[in-house]
Amino acid sequence: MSKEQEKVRNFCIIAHIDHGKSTLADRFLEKAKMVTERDFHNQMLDSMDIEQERGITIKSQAVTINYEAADGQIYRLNLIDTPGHVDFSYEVSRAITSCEGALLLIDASQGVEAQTLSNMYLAMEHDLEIIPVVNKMDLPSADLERVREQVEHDLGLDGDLVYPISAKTGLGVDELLEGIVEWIPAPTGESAAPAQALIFDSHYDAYRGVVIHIRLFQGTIKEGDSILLMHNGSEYKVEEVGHFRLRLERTGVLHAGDVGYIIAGIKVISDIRVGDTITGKTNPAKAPLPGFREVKPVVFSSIYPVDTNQYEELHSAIDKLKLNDASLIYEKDSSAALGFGFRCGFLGLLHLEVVQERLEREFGLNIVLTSPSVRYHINPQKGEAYYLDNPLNFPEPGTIISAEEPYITAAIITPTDFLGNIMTLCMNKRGVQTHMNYLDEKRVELRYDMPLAEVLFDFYDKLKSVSRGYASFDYEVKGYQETDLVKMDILVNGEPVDALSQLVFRQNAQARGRGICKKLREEIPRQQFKIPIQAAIGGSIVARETISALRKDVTAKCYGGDITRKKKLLEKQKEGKKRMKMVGNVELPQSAFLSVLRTDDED
Amino acid sequence: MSGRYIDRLILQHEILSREFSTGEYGTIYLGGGTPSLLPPKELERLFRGLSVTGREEEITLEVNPESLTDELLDCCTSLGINRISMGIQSLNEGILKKMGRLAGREDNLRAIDKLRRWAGEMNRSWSIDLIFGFPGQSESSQLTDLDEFLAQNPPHFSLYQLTVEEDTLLYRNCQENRWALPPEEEMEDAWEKGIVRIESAGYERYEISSYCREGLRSRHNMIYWNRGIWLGLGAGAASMMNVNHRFTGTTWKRFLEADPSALVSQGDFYEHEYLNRRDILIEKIMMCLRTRRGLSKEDLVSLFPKDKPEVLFADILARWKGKIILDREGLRLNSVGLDWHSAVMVDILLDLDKYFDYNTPL
Repeated sequence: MSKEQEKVRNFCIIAHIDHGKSTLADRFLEKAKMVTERDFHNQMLDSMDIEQERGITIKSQAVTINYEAADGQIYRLNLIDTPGHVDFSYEVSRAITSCEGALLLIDASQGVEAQTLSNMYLAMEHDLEIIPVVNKMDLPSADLERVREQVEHDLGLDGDLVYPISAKTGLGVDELLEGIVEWIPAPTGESAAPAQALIFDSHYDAYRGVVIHIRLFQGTIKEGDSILLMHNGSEYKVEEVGHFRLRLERTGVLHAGDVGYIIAGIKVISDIRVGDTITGKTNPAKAPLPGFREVKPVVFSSIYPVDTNQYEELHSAIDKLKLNDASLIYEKDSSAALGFGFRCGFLGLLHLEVVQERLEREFGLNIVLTSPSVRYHINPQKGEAYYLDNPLNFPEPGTIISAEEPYITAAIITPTDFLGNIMTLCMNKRGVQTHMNYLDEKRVELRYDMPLAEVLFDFYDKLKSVSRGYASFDYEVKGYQETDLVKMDILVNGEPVDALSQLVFRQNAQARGRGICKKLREEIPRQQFKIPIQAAIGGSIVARETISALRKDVTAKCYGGDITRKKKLLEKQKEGKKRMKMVGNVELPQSAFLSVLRTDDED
Repeated sequence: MSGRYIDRLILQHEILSREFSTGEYGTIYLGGGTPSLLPPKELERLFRGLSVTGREEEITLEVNPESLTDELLDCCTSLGINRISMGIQSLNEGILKKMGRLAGREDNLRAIDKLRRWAGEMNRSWSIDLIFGFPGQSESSQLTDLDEFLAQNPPHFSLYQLTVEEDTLLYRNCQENRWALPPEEEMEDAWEKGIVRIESAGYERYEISSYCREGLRSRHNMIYWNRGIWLGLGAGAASMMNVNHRFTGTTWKRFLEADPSALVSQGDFYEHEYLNRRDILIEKIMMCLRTRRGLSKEDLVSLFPKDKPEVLFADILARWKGKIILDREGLRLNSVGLDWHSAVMVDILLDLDKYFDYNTPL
């Protein structure tokens, strides 16, 4: 092992959402004096607006921190900040694979949660050294001893190894940095061996093309080398390599053990795959690194511009998003109600919302999304079996032998008090319990096989509400199982609105229909006439609501001093109405389409 | 306190009238707050300070029923005030109590009698107001309130539907379920029946919330509704001395304490709005459509010199059929249409933004 390699530490922070991961990452940057007090704003690594606003990390980010340890040596700490949401679990797994150690961040008052556990299992699978870190010690509700017990009991880790910190105030962060140097092993790997670099992420730079984020396990990669992407079979010439500082820092060469970037004249982000292995053309590795998987979207929805003239703008905006987001897939779509748009595939609902928000905020587009759907597997009476995610393409029910829907394995950790509630909820969501394990006398870990479609809509919110926020949840996709599928149409003012159609499990259809009609009644503003809203399966109506006709204005005074305010009010109302889509002779607000996405079954 | 305020008004007037060379005024309106609480001497001083000539067409004073004394009325007479607008809001004792009004039903009735006598045959006018839909009203009690109100036979009145503004006691009382607004349907029925009663009593609804006997419109307020030019004095008053420039004063404290030179229209005492062509156009349509007269043929020509209104407003006329009228006199809402002013305006805004090029040269 080279002297340089001995002073490298590759680590990630794994945590349940909201346990303070990004705050800790910021604190490290500050400690390493990479950001001055002045330009320090919270969550430096979360660079997208949406990330900062929601306090979640969507893309993996890496940064190299040069840290002078107590022994007087300068260590290169490579921190890989991983996404904190189950939608992005494959990215998390690749980031974890790229490290030798992980800080397992636990909220001092919340304790161990489902994501903590599943991420920890993931880290253990890859033999990472795990340092339990108890964050938010500054809160009055912090209970270090309870968390220490959980660490020993639930996680099977050494409770004495726990680092109590407050990422917010900086308490204990110095000790933790020393701990990283002390406990996390330096990377192994031979710089002379054939190169094996794992792609754990990538981003698109408008001037330089795709920047690949890698962990080099074996060998050396330097500028001018020809490289091979082993799963892809494609070949590129390395233009630049370097380390991640707050910006890219060119080094000309990367050695075994390094975390860094490669720029190799790749124009399109979808030409590379997270999890693929890069090797040298001249002295290629015998095999790629294990664990490669093609990430497949699980949720599908169509995106339409509110103003049909914005189709081209929408097209170019999605193209631009795609530059940085290989997991976003799309194709052209059209609807009678909404005109031309795009059918898109997402990793989950959060991913969908992020894309929606970015299209609206970064590109200033007014868009509507159709009700999200999972991808079904259809066995027709004639012809080959095929996948289907768009309700518009659902065949005549008589022509199919069977339909299958995707299932997940859900892991839930809950205090025993809420066990009954949660079991009822899971049962209502067609869940089948496969595992139940008392972590201690107060907490249970449950596993369920459940249709993905049931989890997509409101499962997480419901889980939080029946457990008063205490239960935590994580899932992975399992496979397909047979189901009884029907297409439900929504009629507004007697006209079916194709963009509101959904594929639903037959037994749920009526309840879902009622829920949707009710929600639409709330969302669609009253118009000059009465509007019936109906849910129908085949020809029969299963639910109905009516929106009464628009009421008159409140007649208020308006003198000279009121003009400004009145005008502003009108402009605001106008903006609201601009976001509506004429469907037949009814104006549907964007929120009507979105509300269907959030609709609860009416129990 | 009031002395200081009058000083400042006079000072502000001096500065603004010089800056804008205002000359004589057509109408004067003393309102906002409670000018009727001013001692007659101070009112006189204010009139002198503003160089009121007495030749103005209409001089209105806003009063509260409880401050309508004989002394005040005499003062009005001697100052040439020829119109009094009195806020009574209701004639229902229970509702007035709930509103926290100082004057009860009997006080209101007595004050109205006084006003009527004062106005007499002297070509003076008066106006009262009524609030529709206050918590506690039912359809029948609201209509009774209206009937009694109309029985007072005011030459002019205003009828407002209650709007619940945030940060008011009313808002909190409704929010915290101590009070409940009357059911929408009931008030809507009351409104529909009420309008019929008002019209059969011979009143003209000449503006969304204003009604009068023939020829007795508020000339002053018509200036606002035609988007005319006016000078506003006082702490929070807005002035429109130019078609594209509106400025509004800020707080009481600043009004009383600011350096006199800061009261100049360009100083930071005011919030200034510089209006572009779209603003002017929208405001003109918005304000004019509040009146039954609407936008005249001439207004339409000057607003849209290159466009035919029947083309520009084709969608609006179709969508709001039976509520909006375009004919040789101009564009206006009919008596049903006035109740839909905002909804129609929103559609007009959308259509203009879509079809009209605000940059077409005039």
